[in-house]
Amino acid sequence: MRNRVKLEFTEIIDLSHTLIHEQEGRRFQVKPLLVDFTPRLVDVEAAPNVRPMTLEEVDRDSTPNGYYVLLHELAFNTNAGTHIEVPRHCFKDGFDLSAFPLENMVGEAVILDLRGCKPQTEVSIDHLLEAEESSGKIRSEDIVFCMFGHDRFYKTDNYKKCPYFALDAIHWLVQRGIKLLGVDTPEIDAPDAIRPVNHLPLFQTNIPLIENLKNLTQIGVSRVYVFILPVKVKFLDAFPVRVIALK
Amino acid sequence: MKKRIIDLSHPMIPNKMNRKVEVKKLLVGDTRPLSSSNPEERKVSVFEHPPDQRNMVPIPDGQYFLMSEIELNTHAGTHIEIPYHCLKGRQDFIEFPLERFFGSLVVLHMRGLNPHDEVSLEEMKRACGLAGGIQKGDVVFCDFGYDAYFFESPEKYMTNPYPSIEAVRWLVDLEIKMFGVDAGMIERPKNPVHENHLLFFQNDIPIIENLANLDQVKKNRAEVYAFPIAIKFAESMPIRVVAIEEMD
Repeated sequence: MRNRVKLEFTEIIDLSHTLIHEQEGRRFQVKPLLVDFTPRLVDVEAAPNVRPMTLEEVDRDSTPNGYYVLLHELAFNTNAGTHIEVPRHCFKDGFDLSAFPLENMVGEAVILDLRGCKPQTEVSIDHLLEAEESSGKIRSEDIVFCMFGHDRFYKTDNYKKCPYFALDAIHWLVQRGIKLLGVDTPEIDAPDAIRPVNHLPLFQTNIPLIENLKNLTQIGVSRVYVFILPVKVKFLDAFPVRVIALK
Repeated sequence: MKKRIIDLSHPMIPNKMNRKVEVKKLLVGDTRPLSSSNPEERKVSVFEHPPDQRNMVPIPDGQYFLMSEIELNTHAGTHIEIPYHCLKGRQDFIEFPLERFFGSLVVLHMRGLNPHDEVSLEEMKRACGLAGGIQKGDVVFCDFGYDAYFFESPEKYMTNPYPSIEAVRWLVDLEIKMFGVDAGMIERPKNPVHENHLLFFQNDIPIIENLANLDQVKKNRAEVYAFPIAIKFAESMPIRVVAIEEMD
């Protein structure tokens, strides 16, 4: 009998927003470069001709000679779109993206339904306890995704007006032994917070934070297996990431 | 059964990659208010071309947050290419089906080949046999042992073995769903046409280049996950690739 790995997932849910050239709140640019191999057909030693283009110039439906090589240069703010933040974001000696353990990035996520929380109001421990009643208890080493349903306001003026956490609610989550926190909002701190006070207890205990999640409302169950595999950039504290739920 | 995670990606070190990866700007938000009368007024320091952002932060821990602006080539470091890289009108990372980015992994251990060796059809078949065989829908990675040269010896890194077009056609006919190598290229050197790329891409098979640590995959079968960032119109992207293997 063959030693076959069974991957028993029937549904894939993308929990990430699409990043689009010059349409993010923060810098995000996609600059196409076309490598034209035509000269190499005559002289294979010749360097390929790399031609910068604009996105408008890339005709996605016609192919010169049926073949080309398209590259891009990206220029972006590391906090654009659905992104992950690790302790380096606020602590000099904290883990950067290349050092942060992958074990925190893969595993079971519990979805806390906090859709009852109003915009620009505080999420309290009571809200979390109430959400836990329907989702089941948060377990040690859980990834916790807080579902406000706020992703529907993404790229609108209302998006910034999101619910935020009371500091003791963050401490309560940390004490539960969670290994990663994610929200479908752009921020976990109060609008008038002087310091990123809610980020600090997370980063002090090596809990990464994902902001701008999407589609948590599509999951439909309270527990799901998730993969968050950030590009392994040394020195960096944050990076856009694809977050995928499998159920 | 207990499982372990194996990272199959090289670290991406700004300014030290084979292709452009530069941190252009580091923004340090000092979260201490400038005055008590206006607590919202904060100072943001901007550092151009910071070499190592840890040493650029002059503010106490917990009193700041960072934001970086980065510029990179989509083929820097460990990266995944989809057919749109060479074939117009094909799907980008938003449209390409997510189920193609994970699956059952077979690593073909082919260390000890000579520089620029072409892996013939027979050699590919033999390596697949030793790995327990390949089935439709498998992800196939070739372990040439060249990851050791990625940072250490870029010149040596360019001399990697590569699969022959016959070997690629055989893998395509087996309907594998993704192909990867721990090398920077899968073509015969100086071949004016990227024929291996084209054959994979015409069959909707993504290619991962510059993999690392394939020797750490010990079992004939593991799971592999490689989800690219959701960028509209991108044809390739640096990526984190992980294998998950059962432990004895």
